[in-house]
Amino acid sequence: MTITPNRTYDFIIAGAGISGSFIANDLCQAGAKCLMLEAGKSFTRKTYPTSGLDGNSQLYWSGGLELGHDCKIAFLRPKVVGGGSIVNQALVDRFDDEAFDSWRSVSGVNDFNSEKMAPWYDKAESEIEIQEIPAQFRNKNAEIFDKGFKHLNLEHAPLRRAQSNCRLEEGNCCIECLNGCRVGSKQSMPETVLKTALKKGLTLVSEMEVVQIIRKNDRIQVQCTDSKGGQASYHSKNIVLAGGAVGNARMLLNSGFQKKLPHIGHGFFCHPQFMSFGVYDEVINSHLGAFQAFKADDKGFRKNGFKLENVYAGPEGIALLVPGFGKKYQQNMEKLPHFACIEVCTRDTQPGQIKVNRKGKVLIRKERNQEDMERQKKGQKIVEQIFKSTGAKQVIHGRFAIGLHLMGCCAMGTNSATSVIDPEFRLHGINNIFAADSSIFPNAPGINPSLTIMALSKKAAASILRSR
Amino acid sequence: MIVSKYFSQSQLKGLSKAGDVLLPGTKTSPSFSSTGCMSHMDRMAAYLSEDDLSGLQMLLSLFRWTPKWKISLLFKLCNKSDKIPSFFGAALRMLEIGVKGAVFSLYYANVTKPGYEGPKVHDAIGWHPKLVLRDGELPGKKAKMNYENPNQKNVDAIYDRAKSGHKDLRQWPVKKRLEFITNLKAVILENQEKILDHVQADTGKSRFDAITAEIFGVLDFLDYLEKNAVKYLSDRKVATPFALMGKKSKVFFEPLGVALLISPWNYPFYQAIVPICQAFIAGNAVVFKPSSATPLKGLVEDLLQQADFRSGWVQVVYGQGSSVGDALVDAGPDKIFLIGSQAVGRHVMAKAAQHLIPIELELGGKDPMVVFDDVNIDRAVAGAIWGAFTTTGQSCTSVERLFIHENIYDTFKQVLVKETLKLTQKTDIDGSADIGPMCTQNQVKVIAAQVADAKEKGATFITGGSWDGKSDHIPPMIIEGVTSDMLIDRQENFGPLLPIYSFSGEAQAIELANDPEYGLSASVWSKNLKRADRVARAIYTGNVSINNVMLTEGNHALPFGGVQKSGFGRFKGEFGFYAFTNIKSVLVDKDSKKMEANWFPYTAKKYRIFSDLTRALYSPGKISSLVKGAIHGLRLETYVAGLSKNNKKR
Repeated sequence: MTITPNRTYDFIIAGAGISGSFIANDLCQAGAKCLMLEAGKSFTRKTYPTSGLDGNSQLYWSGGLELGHDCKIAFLRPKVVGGGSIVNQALVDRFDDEAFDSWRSVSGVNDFNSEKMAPWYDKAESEIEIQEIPAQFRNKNAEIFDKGFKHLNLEHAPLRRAQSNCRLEEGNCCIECLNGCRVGSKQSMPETVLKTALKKGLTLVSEMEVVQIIRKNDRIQVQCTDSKGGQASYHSKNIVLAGGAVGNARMLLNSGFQKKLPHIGHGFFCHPQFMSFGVYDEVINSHLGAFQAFKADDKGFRKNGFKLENVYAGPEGIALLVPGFGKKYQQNMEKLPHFACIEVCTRDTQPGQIKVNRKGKVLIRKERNQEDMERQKKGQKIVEQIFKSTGAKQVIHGRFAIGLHLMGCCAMGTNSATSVIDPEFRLHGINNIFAADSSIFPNAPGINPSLTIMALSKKAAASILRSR
Repeated sequence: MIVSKYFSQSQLKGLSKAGDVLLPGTKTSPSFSSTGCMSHMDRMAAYLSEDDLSGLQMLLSLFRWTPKWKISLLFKLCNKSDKIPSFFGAALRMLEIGVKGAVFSLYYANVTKPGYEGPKVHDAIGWHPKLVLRDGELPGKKAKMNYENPNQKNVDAIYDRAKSGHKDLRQWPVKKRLEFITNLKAVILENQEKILDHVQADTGKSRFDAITAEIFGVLDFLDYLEKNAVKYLSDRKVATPFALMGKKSKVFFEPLGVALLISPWNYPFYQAIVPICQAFIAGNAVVFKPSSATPLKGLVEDLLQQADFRSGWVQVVYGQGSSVGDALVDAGPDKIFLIGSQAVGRHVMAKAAQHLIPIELELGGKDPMVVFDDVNIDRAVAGAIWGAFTTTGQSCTSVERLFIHENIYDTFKQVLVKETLKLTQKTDIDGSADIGPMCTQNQVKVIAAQVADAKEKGATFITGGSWDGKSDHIPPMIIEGVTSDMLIDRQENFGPLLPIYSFSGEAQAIELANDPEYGLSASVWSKNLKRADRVARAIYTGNVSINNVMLTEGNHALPFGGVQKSGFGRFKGEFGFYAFTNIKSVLVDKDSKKMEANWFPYTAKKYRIFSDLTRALYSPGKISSLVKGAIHGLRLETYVAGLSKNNKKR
């Protein structure tokens, strides 16, 4: 069945993640008629999956993990209304000069500059609530992180999270919010800007996957398939691509834009992360309370291209990372309450590439060069020192790298041969296709991207509205 | 047995085996297979990409036939995948993540099979996160269902659940649905004693009656479904005539939607499982209302759940027909199937008529048994006694009128009485009693009235005449001298009453056997099979056994149903599949430029050619009509092609 509504929208927003929601909100506030299309499902506080089994299946592409060509990194790519804001740890960090300087030099875009971005960060932060985890709710996993850092004379700082009221005093555990927050504390898009956009008249169609974008006489036609294989097509004057690095690359490649813009799909980054577990004699119970209370803030780490994170995961995820199998493996898993966890998050330098095959399916090619491996090793060495210095009896390094900040593929830049998006957030040479999400990142910043996606999206919305 | 929409039994066995290699269990942790977490496999599989799913299916099929030590070796190799160059290393990593992903996600999600009582995985790994939810934050719980005397709101909820159950179910191919039937068969076998206890507690029937009719009969029916459902419910090609050359014709057998099944009290288990499975196998969701007299409360749902039927596929609703029946019909099922009395049938059909809901009725009978003088008397007597008194006469196909040829009448009667007096009557536990008491007090009253009326009008009670008219242990009654003005002759007895009559010849036997009102089943007894065949054809009824009694029901390949006021429609056998099926006709043509001759524009010339074609095709003479038909067909096609070309130019 092909549904072809007669209505022509001012904007179609392809993707209901952080960028799509922020842009849609600003466009709707300005009175534009907007349609948001999202491949994933729409959940509410009451319907979020409550186990890792359902969470992985229902909130991500490919039912959980996606693998690249060499199967060395497992990618987590959210597919849900709210996108990354549903499944992330809600960290909100501004980029530093180091990140922007490197972006500016790669892209030639002068606006990539801490000072110029500051007002956009302010605006983005004003849309959501941000809190620090109070000291009394730090759990033992955080204590170990704290002790280890102090012991090794490393800098760390309390963590800022996009949350409003986790009611930790009632004994709540944050581990829940990796599958969508059921108490509405996490400042996910459906709880914040998407909610206001919908009130302002945004039309949201979920479980509708954009397959192809056709541009005819300056008009946009979007071909979609719904979750049951039905087809639909929608019309608009403009389109905002907000499907993330892989999603945007896929939509553009399937629509043939690579003929004019050969860089589409190139420059894919993912901050490969490596979880390690320290096993202690005492009970740690890393899953209790606010498990991520600190962030590394060490100049030396930044220089060496990695970060340490005070994280944890559900048992289904940890099970996959703990190596081995059989009786011994199960006995290791029985020690789970004694696990502390620190993750090395590397700033990858070797770009990967997203391609699509003849059926339109995504192929991910992402390798790591010597430098990237070095960064991992350096990070893991410090993790080992932290664990050992705080009394761990054993250190277990996770089996796989996890790629969960998916960035690039439609880099912003001034040169259309080496970039895809121009400094005004438009596809080079095309005045009605826009993007401002992580896909426009020219390289890996080495810092959690979500707040910057919000800021860039605010800036993009203003730029789009100005040009109308 | 676990049924998965996405994995075959052999693939599930492969998963179980690989799972136990990865997670064999320790002192505190259960093994993968023991938790039954595999029964939740579809929760994950439903979201896998097609490629990932088919890859996993292939692997698991392979594991099915690979010894455990080899699987173990394979995973050991996976541990070293980083040292193995490019392609093989990648393949091993993919295998490791794929299989471990499935096995660990299921196991460490702490899910188990229903009724699992072993150690829980989350206890073994000390995983107890907490989230305090307030009012209004509690998950959107599924509406609490009320199946007992549901009010209007409850009924709506029941149908909503059935509709969503149907949506899900209709996507399961017949072969997959059959796996649930296979499950159910095993569950019934395993729970045989419990089922019989339930049936006896509700009906009081003898244990032997219960096992033959309710257990054996049900299993035999399920067996029939296993062997035939795919055959009868698969798409069929049918012939396409010459005039429609180039097209294809097919028939699809699709479910109707939600079926409302209403069953009587006499065979509560058989009349539950058989219609439920008949409707289910065709892909319908079922709302089932058992009789309030013998509801077997909780039994059917329990067995279906053990057989892994999903909630919403079959729901059992309890209550008096008079109070909940109307609401169940008004809620608008897509089909109603009722086994019961004329009175109930008439009421429900009138209700269904208001909504134009298709209905099938299996109502009562007044079944004749006709015995000619050339039979083996001992066998025929034994057949008559069983046919009249099994389940204490409470079958719709019980023998209710026995016609004996006058030449053997006296001898037959003598043996009949002698043998009947030997019957033992009680609710036994070891299978040694012949018949039980009556199921319902209501039926006792009906029979008391019939007996009093017959006695008053001069009938002779050769046996059972001493019954007090109140006890539910109604003894078998053989009655002589019954006339057409007696209730006992006109009404269905549904009890252990057997009026006997004599007849002089074939014509009279047929006349007597043909009841003006009923027509459910009959039996004809004669050594002369030609005569038996003649009489069987001449009796206006739905089912006839020759030289046996009530036996058409013993073969589940035979359809069952009545004529006249005994009901209509057929269930069981090939035709039974169609009772719950939307038989959809599909004609497939190719997309092309070609225009059809019977479409506009009509022209005088086209009319002439068409008329030539009609004459050629349907005139006598096979070959000449084919040749001429071909010629005129070609003429017509060329002309139409020309027409559409000209049309375009214009």
